[in-house]
Amino acid sequence: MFGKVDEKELLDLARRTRKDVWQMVYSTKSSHVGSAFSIVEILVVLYKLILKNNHKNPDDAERDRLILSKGHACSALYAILAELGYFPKELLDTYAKNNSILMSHVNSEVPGVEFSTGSLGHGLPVSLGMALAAKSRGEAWRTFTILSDGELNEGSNWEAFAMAAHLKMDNLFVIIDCNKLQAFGFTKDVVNLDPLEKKFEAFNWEVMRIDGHDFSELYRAFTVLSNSQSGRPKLIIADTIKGRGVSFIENKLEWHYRWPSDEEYQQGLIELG
Amino acid sequence: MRNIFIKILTEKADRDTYLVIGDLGFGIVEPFVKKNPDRFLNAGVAEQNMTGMAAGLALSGFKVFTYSIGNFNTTRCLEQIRNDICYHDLDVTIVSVGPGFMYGSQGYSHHAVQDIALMGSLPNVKLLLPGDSREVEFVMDYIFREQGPKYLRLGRNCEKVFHQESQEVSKINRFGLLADKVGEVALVAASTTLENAFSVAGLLQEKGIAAEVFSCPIIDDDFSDNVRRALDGFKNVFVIEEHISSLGLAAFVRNAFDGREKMIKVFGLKRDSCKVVGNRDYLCEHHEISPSLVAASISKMLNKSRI
Ligand SMILES: Cc1ncc(C[n+]2csc(CCOP(=O)(O)OP(=O)(O)O)c2C)c(N)n1
Ligand SMILES: [Mg+2]
Repeated sequence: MFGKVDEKELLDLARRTRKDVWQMVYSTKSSHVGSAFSIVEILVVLYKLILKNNHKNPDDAERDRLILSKGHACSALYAILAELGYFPKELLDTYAKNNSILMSHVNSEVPGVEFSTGSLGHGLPVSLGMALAAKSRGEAWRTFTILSDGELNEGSNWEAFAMAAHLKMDNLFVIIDCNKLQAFGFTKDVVNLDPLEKKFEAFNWEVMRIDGHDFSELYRAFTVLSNSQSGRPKLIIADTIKGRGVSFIENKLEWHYRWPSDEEYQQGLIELG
Repeated sequence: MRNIFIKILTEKADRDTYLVIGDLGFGIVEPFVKKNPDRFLNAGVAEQNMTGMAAGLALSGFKVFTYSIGNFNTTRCLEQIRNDICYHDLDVTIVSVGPGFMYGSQGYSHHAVQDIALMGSLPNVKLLLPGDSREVEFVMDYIFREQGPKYLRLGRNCEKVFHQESQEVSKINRFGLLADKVGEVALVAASTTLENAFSVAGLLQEKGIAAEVFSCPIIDDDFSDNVRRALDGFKNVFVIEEHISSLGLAAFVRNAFDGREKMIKVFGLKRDSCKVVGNRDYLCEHHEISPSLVAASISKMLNKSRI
């Protein structure tokens, strides 16, 4: 059990989310399915267990904020928001189609989405501004940001990492979706940032590294960091698998771009259960 | 177009050619990498650094290409382009794939609709706006002949060819659709709108209006002279641009005429940012630059002026 929520509920939501995403990318021949699959458990834990927010009042001034900086993985976020009741599930059928608000990079026109992204390296500075706003008004809400590991190449992030620690923004939580792949290769072959934890520690962040597909580890990390009195901004390195959930797309570069054929679609549905 | 670009680049590249990519070009740039592995770098998702590095390579004698899509190697690193490359007049070609609404459904972040205005306002920059593969060949010759900063706006999957085999490509090209008759209407286009212009001309022809298409694959110092000469005699000039209206190709055409001698009407994008998504055709329709809307608008205007 996770508070009042049992594991089955989390597993069900993760499964339904992946199936929705698989359907969305298949029917519209869209890219980035691997990027969406790697953050499913992260989103499930955030929305079911961690974020203080409510689909009935998405503009509540006291809500926790989440920015999906790796905006190309938005199909997973849209699917979860629909599951949670932010908007009718039928809207998912319009994903990436003409006249839809469901852009294939996350769009703030969609109920529950805080901010539009799509160009990498924007989410963290904006989140830092939000965290600063909360602090400067003495408000208790927190800001969460999901970054991808290739996205860490962008210098804008490192400017924000430095400033957030300098400002002691302990209301700012960063989750790095560390799936080891980016758009033209493995992250270690493009710009090797190891040892990653040490870098963030040296930047004065409070860091935990966990399995990003494991509900218990995710829950524990968020709980520990939420309760911490360190005064530092918080960061979780979530080790994940790009394409997690459908065996033949896992950890494969081309699935950053590809969408399933008819046959692959059926095969994937079976695997997703 | 991407493939033709890489093919020619790979053919022409020597030991002084350097290609830097911004973690993009999977399935495209490999032939170059194979031929020149030590003259290639994936700079990662880090366009500011990529562009600064390109300046450093060019300062040290390389002819450099930065390759990415949409806005990422233009607006994301605009100051590196302005100060590092352009001010120092360095031999860097910024190659951006998928201009206008070519990445339509990806959303606003991926719509490159201010690029010509931004790149065209910088010192020393030559704008390369090929509309088909023949024009890609033409601009590649130019790139390897001319030193200095260049911006190459490269369509994505634009594989139609508009130039006849026998037709020589030049900085401005006239496509006389109606063999012996001089058109009453000039449709001026570049890059992705060349195809639209041909569609407009076809629709106008059905309405009995003779239109000729002009393409402008290279905008450099000669552009004003060239365009004045090319459009001499045309009373009605229409510029079609998949770009914020009047600030892209149209700005250069209007400048050439100083706004007085000619009626120049522009079909370009409204400045509002579209809050919904769609494919390229859908977004062109939304912004009223689809061929059918442009043709209807032109014929309405001409009929009015005939009365
Ligand atoms: C500024 C910028 N440059 C380039 C891109 C194109 N692009 C989209 S995703 C991506 C990299 C994907 O790798 P990663 O950041 O690790 O995300 P993942 O898909 O693995 O979650 C790139 C280069 C972009 N969206 N923004
Ligand atoms: Mg990654």
